[in-house]
Parts: sequence; structure tokens; C-alpha cells
Amino acid sequence: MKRFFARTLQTTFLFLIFSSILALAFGGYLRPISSGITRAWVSLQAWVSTRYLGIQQFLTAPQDFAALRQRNAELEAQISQLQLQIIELQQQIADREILAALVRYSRANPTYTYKAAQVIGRDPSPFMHYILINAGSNDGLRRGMPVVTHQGLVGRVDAVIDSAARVQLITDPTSSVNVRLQNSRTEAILVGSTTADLWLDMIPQQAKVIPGDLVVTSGLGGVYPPNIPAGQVLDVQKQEAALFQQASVQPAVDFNQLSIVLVILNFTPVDIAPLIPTVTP
Amino acid sequence: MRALIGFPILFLTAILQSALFSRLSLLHGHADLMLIVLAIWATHPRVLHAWEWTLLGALLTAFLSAFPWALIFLTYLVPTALARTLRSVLRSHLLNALLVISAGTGWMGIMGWLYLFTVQASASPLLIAGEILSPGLLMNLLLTLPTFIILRRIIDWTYPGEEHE
Repeated sequence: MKRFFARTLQTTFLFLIFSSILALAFGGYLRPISSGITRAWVSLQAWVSTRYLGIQQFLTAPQDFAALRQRNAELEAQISQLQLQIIELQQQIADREILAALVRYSRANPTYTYKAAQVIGRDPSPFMHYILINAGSNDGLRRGMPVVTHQGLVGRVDAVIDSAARVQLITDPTSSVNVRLQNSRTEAILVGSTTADLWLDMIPQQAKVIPGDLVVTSGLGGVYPPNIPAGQVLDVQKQEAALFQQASVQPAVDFNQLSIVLVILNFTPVDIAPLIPTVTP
Repeated sequence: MRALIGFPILFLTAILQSALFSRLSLLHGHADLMLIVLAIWATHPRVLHAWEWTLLGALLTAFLSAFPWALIFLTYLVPTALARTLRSVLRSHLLNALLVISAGTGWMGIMGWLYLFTVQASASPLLIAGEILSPGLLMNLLLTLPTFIILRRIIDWTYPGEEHE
């Protein structure tokens, strides 16, 4: 009986404690304690979880590295291929733009028949300003034919084989082109130089030359057709004591970026060799 | 038979020179790969066919260039002669090659000036030296070491352990 009473008392006591705790909890009086316990619990769980993930990563890492390396190699190969494709496409776009400009030029100048050719090389000597093109006598090219781009005059065919030709640029030190200043209609000679600079020579002293004047071929001498742009006057050098004025000229064509040119097929240069007097004994 | 190896090498050299190195200019000078190849070949102590290589190299260059043939042959034959003389004086192959390439570049400048003078094209020697030769020499010297490494292997393979000429 005594034992039963003690157990009932114990149960009642526990019930009371539990009820009071519940009452305190529902009343919000245990919030600081519960939040402290929860925080400690979460921190501990986070610590354990982090360590577990670390150990798991450590154990599974070799497999992942191998897979990642393989994936990385695949992606790098893919990137290389895509970069090559981009370069090819950019080249195609650039070529297409040039070709479109050349087509526009040939349509705008229907008097002549053109043959497009790719620039495949340059003269090995730094003293000579020549280019090699991939069209030759099989394509109808002959020595002396003028070469142009949509920008202006390039030069003339110097030597031909069946499938290629060598073109003398107007910047070559031995090149001279009869030109005319478009504004003043003054005739002059455009000469090249070792440093690929263009000079306008033999300009009469009384001629009025202004920087910016357009220089076009005059057609005199019959070497080049008339009215092809060759450049623009940059700077005029006039000396009172000199017979002629000189001027530096900015070429119309960017000779460093030459990739495709047009050869004028139906222009036959005049051969003036028989007119040059020879000394006979 | 060994001289035949010169055909593909010099052919490739001529193509590279015209299609690539002539476009890579510094100021107005550019590297002369043909000179570099011929100089490295001719200065090697075991090489027997230096003159044949030089003639072939000059012929290929003359085919591509508008520069007068005679001057092209002179441009390359004189450095070869210098190379054959130097290799009996100095033992270092690379040093000999560098000396021949430097002298050859200068000689090429003289030939160029001579040509321009002959055709009455205006070109001052100072301008040629400053705008064409100095940058050309710099590029030649830069290109010498990689070319030397490649050619040296070919020469060792072509002339394995023979006595000096």
C-alpha cells in the first residue's frame, strides 16, 4: 500500500512537472531556452554534416577528377573546333565582303572584263614590291594587264605562267604611273619608293595642289586605263627654285591587306617600244 | 643522293618565305628564311653539298622574285663562300651561322642598293639601313635559333658522323 502510494505520488509529481513545462512552453516562457537548445543543435548538426560531406567528397573525389578531366578535355576539344569554325566563318565573311565590293565595282565599271585572283604571296626581296596571284595565262592573263581592287589601282601584271602571275605594285620603286589630279586636271607622275610611299612628281609649279585632292590615272602612255583612283594628296612640297612641285600621296588601296584583286582582261597596254629611238651604228 | 633532300626543304622554304615571312614585315624589312637556311646548312662542318643547295635556293628565289637573277645568285653565293671559309676558322656552328646571316643581310642590302641605283630609283643608303636592313637583321636573328634546331637534326640525319670536308 505504501509502495502504491509512493508510485502514484511519483507519477503525479512527474505529470505536474510535465504539465507545468508544457504550460510554460505554451505561455512562451521557455522560448529563450528552446531557442538556445535549437541553435546548439543546428550548429552541431551542421558541423557533423559538413564533416560528413568532406569525407564523402574525399572518398569520391578521384572518380570525379577523372570524369571532370575527361569532360574538360572534351569541352576543350569542342572549344578548339568552334574557334576554328569561327575563324573560318570570319574569313569567309571577310572574303565575301571583299568579293561583294569587287562585284559592285565591276558592275559599276562594265566597260572592262575582270578576272578575280587571290594573292598567294609576296616578293621575297624587301626591295621589290610585287605580289603573286593565283591566275595565269590559262585564265587569259597577259603581261602588262592592269590590276585593281574596288578601292583603286593596284599595279600591273609583270610576269605570267600558266596558273600564276606576278604583279608589280604601284608602290614599287621602279613603278611610275601617269596620273591626273581630279580637281585641277593637272597631269603628274606617280612614283613608288623603297619604303612603299607614293610620290607625285612632275607637277607643274603653277598648278594648284591641295591636300586631299584625288589622284586618278590619266591614261596617258596607254599603260593604265584612265580614271582609276590611285590615292589622295597628303602633303605638297613646293620650292621656288625647283622646276616642279612634289607631293606625297596616300594610296587608295591598303597594300598590306591585299587578299583578292581584279585583273582587267580587255585592256591591252600600248607597246611604246617601237617609238623609243635606238642608236644605230 | 643526299643533295636531293635539299629539294623539299628549299621548296618549303621558298613557299614559306613568299607566303608568310614576306608579309610579316617590321618597318619595311622582313626575315629572309632562305638566307638563314642556306647559312645554317653551309656552316655545318659535315655538310658536303652547300654550293648545290645555294644554287637551288637562289634559283627558287629567282623564280618568285622580280629582283634580277644575277643579283639573287650573288646575294646567296657570297654568304655561302663566307660560310665555307668561316667553318674552317671557327668551331662553333651556331656562331658561324649567326655571323654569316648578319653579313649576308648586309650584303643583301648592298645588292639591293646597287639594283636601285642601277634602275635610277631613289633610295638613300641610310634609309635602306634603317628601314629595311636593321629590322630585317633583327628578324633574321630571331628566326635563326628555331631554324637552327630543326635544321641541325636534319643535317645530323643526312650526314651521320662523317669526317669534316
